[in-house]
Amino acid sequence: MRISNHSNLRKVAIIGVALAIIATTSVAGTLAAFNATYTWQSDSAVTGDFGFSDTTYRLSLFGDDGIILPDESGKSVLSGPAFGDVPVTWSFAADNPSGIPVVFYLASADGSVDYSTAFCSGYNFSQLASYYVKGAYGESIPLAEVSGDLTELVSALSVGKTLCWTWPYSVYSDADCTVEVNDGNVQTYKAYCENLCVGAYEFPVAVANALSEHTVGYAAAGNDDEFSVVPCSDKTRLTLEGGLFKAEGVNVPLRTSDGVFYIPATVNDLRMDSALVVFVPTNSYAQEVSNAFTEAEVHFDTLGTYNISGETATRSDDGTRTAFVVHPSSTGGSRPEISVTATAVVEG
Amino acid sequence: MKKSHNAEFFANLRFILDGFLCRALVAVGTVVTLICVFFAVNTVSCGFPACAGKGFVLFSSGGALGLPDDDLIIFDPCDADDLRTGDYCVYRSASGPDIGVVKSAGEDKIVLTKDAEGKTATVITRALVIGRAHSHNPSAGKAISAVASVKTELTAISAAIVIFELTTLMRKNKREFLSAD
Repeated sequence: MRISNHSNLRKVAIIGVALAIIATTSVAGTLAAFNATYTWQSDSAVTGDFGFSDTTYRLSLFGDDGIILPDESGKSVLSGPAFGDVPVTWSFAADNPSGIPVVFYLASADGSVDYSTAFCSGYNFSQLASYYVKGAYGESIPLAEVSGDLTELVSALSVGKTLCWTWPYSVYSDADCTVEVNDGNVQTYKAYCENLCVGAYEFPVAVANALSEHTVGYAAAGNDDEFSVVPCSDKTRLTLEGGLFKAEGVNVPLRTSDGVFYIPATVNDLRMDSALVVFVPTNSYAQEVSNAFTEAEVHFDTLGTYNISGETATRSDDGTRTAFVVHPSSTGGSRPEISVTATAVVEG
Repeated sequence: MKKSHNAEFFANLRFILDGFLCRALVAVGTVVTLICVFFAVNTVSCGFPACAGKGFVLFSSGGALGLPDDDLIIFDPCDADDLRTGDYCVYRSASGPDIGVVKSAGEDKIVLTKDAEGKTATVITRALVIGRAHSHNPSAGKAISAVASVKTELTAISAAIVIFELTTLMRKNKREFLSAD
C-alpha cells in the first residue's frame, strides 16, 4: 500500500508539472501574441510612404527628374483621408548618412511656409545663420530657423500639409534673396556641397566591343515609339574615346531618364541615368549583343524591336532592328544617398 | 546480515527522497500554475500583459533604442500626464505595442524618438500611451520567445501526459478499491 501511495504521488507530480507547462506556454504565447499585429483591432492608413533613394540624387518622392543637385527644391502634398478625431501616429524619418544638406519643412495648403518646422540633418547652418536661402516656392528661408531637431516638423505633420525640400547652394544676405553672399563661410559650404557631387561614370570597353560592328544606328531624339536615328556605316562606326562614344569624331547623344536627349561635352557630363540608345539587327546580332552585355555586367535594357526607314525608327512587334538602352558604369567617386519616410497610421 | 541492513537503509532513503521530490514538484507546479492564472486574470482586466501592477511586452525593436530583438520590457501602466521628457513611453501602435523616448509632450500630442541621433520622430496622440518602461530583461524575453515558438507542441505533449497519467491513476485506484473489497 505504501508503494501504491508513492506511485500515485509520482503521477500527481507529473500531472502538476504538465499543467504548469501548459500554463507557462499560455503565458508566453499571450506575450508573443500581444506583439503581433492582430492584438490591436486596428486599421491602418498610410498617407504617403515617401522614400527617395538617391544614388544619383534621385527624389522619386517628388516625381522630379530623379536627380537632386544643389540649388534644387521640390514639394509634395501629404494627401490622404481626413482622420478626424481618430488617433493618428505620425512618423518622420530621415536617413542621410552622407550629410546632404537638404532642408525639409512644411507649408500649408495655401502655400504659407511654417519656418519653425525647417529641419536639416545633413549640415549645421549655424555659421550661416544670418543668411537666407530660397525654398520650394521661391520664398526665402532664414537659415537661423533651420534646426537639426525634427520635433517641430513631425509635430506639425498632417494631411493636407505640403512637405517641401530644398538643397540650398546660393546664399543671400537679404530676406528677398536678391543679394548673394560669397564669404568664407559660404565658400566652405559650397565646397561641401560640391564634394557631394563627385561621382564619375564612363562607358566600358565591353560596350564598345559588343557594338562595334553590329550597330546600324543610334538615336538622337524622340521617344520609345519613334526615334530620330543617325545611321551607322563602316565609315561612321561608333568608337569609344575617353569613356564617351563618338561617331565621326562627334560625341553621340545620350538620353536621360526623362527621355531628354543631350550631347555630353565631356565624360563629366555622364550621369548614372545617362543612356546610349542603339539599334542592332534583330535576327543576326541582338541576342549576341545582349549576351555580351550580360557577361560584361553592363547596365542595359532592351526597348523592343523597331523598323528603320530613312532616319526614323518606328516601334514594331516584327521590327528588324532591336533597340538597346545602354548605361555607363561607375568609375568611382561618391553618390551619396538620402531618404525620408513620412507615415501616418490610424488606430482603430 | 549487514548487507541486508544497508539495502534496507538505501531503500528507505530512496523512498524518502522520492516522496520529497514528488511533493516538491507538486508544490512548484501548483505555484507556477497559480502565478500563470493570476497573470491571465491581470491581463484580462488591464487589457495588456500584466502581473502585480507591472506591464510586460515582448518587444522586437530591430535595433531601435539599442534594444535587442525579443526583449522583455517591464513597464508601469500610466497615462500620458505621467510622462516626462526622456521617459521610455510604451504606446499602442497598429502593429502592437511600441516604445519611444519622449522628446516633448504637448496638450494633445507626444513626440517620441527611437534613435540616439534623433533621425526619426514619431508623434502620437495621448490616448495611445499605456505606460512608462523602467527596465528590460533580454534573457527572459529570449526564453519567453523560445517557449512561445514551440507552445503548440509543448501544450499538446503536456496535455497528452496529463490525460494519460489521470487515466492510469484512476484505473489503478479503481483496481485497488475493487481488490480491497
